Amino acid sequence: MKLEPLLWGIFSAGGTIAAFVLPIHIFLNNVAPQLGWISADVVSYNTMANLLSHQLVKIYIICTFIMMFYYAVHRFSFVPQELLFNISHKTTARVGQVLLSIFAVATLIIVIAAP
Amino acid sequence: MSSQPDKITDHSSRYRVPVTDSRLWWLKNRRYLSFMLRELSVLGVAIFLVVYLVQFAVLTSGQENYNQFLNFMKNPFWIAANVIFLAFAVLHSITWFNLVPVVTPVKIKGKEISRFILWGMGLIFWAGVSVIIAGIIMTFS
Repeated sequence: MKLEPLLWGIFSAGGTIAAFVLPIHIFLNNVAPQLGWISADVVSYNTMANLLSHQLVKIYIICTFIMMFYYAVHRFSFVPQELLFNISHKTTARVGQVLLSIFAVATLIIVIAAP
Repeated sequence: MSSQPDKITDHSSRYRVPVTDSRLWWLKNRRYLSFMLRELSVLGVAIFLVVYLVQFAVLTSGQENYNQFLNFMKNPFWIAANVIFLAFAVLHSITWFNLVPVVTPVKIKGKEISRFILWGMGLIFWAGVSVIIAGIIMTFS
């Protein structure tokens, strides 16, 4: 398939983005403020609304989120076969495409609509 | 009659595809276990991204809802889950930067740059990007 190298290329780009930005985002949004390590202002309504009002931030979120989700879906689509379940990769890849499409549309709508 | 091929115990070739009947083949050595943990870690990535999107959606629906969401994210279950996601994300970053010099070796004037240096540069860029992102978010808070 000619598409195969492209798919792995996007996977690789998504994995690289995840390697660079994912730990800091999880830490700052979901771990540090909740455990009281840093001020809860970091995740406050005003902070988030301010950040999301910037077009560059919106573009950043849309691009990185969709790429990282693609990375996750593509990687996970091989797991059923690796665990010897009797499902073809064609099927799991198709499921992945559907999930990715829903995620991408939801990301676009939610991020563009954000205040 | 049917002698079970136990090829999984032969580690003489590093890149041999294991042939096995056992669904738990990845528990047989640390290399396989690390591989499978990284495969499964993308579940954490997907859940984190979806929950973050929900956070943005709730943000749009108003301050009261958003504060309720923040309270909900403080329950021990979510904190524990997020600590695990963070650990996996860090594992992914470190192993990804281990991999980069192998997949994309860099040559300058015909001389190959040592993998150790490329790996170190990956980690330094990672730290730099993390500091920049943290700085931007902190500036707004």
